Amino acid sequence: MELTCIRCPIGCSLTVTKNADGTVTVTGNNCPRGAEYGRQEMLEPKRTITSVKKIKNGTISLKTNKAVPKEKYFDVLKAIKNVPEKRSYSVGGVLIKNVCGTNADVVITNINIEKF
Amino acid sequence: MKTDVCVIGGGPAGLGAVKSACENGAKVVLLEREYRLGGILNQCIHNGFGLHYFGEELTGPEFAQRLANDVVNSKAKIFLNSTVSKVEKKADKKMIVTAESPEGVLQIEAKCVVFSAGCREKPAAGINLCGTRPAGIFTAGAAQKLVNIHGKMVGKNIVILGSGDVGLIMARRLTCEGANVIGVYEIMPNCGGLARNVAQCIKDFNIPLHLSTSIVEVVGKKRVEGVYVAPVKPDFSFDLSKKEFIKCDTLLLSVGLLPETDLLNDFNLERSPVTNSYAVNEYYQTSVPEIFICGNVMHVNDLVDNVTNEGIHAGKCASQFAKGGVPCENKIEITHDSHIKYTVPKYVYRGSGELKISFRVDKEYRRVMVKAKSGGEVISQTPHPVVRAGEMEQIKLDKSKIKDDLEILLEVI
Repeated sequence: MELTCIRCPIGCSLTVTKNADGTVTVTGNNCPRGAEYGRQEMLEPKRTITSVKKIKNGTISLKTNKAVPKEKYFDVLKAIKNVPEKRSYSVGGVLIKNVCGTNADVVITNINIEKF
Repeated sequence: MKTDVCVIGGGPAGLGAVKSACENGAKVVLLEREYRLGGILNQCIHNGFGLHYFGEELTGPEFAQRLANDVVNSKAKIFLNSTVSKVEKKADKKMIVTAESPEGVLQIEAKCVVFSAGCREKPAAGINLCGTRPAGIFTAGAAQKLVNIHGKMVGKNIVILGSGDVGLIMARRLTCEGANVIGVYEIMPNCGGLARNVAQCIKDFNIPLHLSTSIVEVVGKKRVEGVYVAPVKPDFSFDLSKKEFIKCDTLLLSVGLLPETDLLNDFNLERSPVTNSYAVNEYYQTSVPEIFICGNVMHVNDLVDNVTNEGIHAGKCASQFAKGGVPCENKIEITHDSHIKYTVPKYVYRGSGELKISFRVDKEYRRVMVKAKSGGEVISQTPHPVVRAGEMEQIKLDKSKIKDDLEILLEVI
């Protein structure tokens, strides 16, 4: 499998192969993070998800505090959309714990107030 | 109000400059036109920032907050909601910066200015886009602000022109918000953004990326109704025989950034034609010694980590200048071969210490050696597995090895 590493801006071109014994070989990486990414991408691709949620008088920016399985991408976005309004928000605070059973939390990264 | 250093713009470059100027003992004033610090980082909600500078992956707002915390806790005087309207130099070499602030008109008298005002996006007129001008045409950054800060959607069926990083990131962002991104069209034969953004924003979501293809006409009266696209020939003329109509309601432009240098127009500073900004020396000082520039207003960067480091360098040099001056004897102009489009800085002075040179190449090369030559000798060579037009490269030199000239060369191994 030919991949572009997304772990840093260099974007190394990786060649990832799954061996008969179940192990994974990664070549083309310039650092250990690339090898880790290549292996993960072959076995279970994961992404950190970022999004925005509208609140009463503005928006909050959000991220998952861990990379979550790629197939849960749109489930996580839906969960963010559907979570009810809270009384208050703080940067660094958790909006959703263990989102969609991924073990990752959705965390608030910024608060944008429209009227103040 | 009197100060040593006046920093204009509180984005990552300006925050870096304030931090380092304060750490070097200068009195600093920061002027920021928005109601908060951080600049464009606040609308860049995606992650991937800070791997070089903080050693971890952060989102844009998190990166901004970390930088801003240092600045808020420093002795710098910060003015928010303050838009600079004029920068002048008096006969006694003092700089006067005028800003409109909520408290009224501010006048800052400074020994020097660090200009970190960032860029503006090229609009439709900037690329001679043909056709009508209905509602529904946005620059990618403007759309990013609407979606990420204001929570407003820009359209349903979206075409993106230009494959710069903001365009790629908005392709993903709009898809996540439920829009149908029909395709990204790029006039050049290569993608303008980082390879990793093609992987995680385009391929992950099966968004078509059409290289060597561009828009020949925008159609629509009140709202965008569609665009005509056509392949681009090697001489950059359109192959109109293959013109095709794409129905859409929204067009995003990610076609380049222009440094926002307007406030400095009257100074007639030496320009750098390739960067659309000004030529600088190793202190990021312009041809008027009281004016330092850094970040995207100096040249468009790919990484905020580099922007911040440029700010830190400019702030340090500006504080040194305010305290008595920076060494400026034996000026040397850096020359380069035709593979390299420009270098920052353009000028260096003979001396000692480390010199960092940033440059961009004209197209992709694999397995190259970047050589620095001075006095007929190679004083440094750095191998690069791949260099791309869309990615800024850096080399470091030992200044004591520089003689009367300095040439940067790219050699394919």
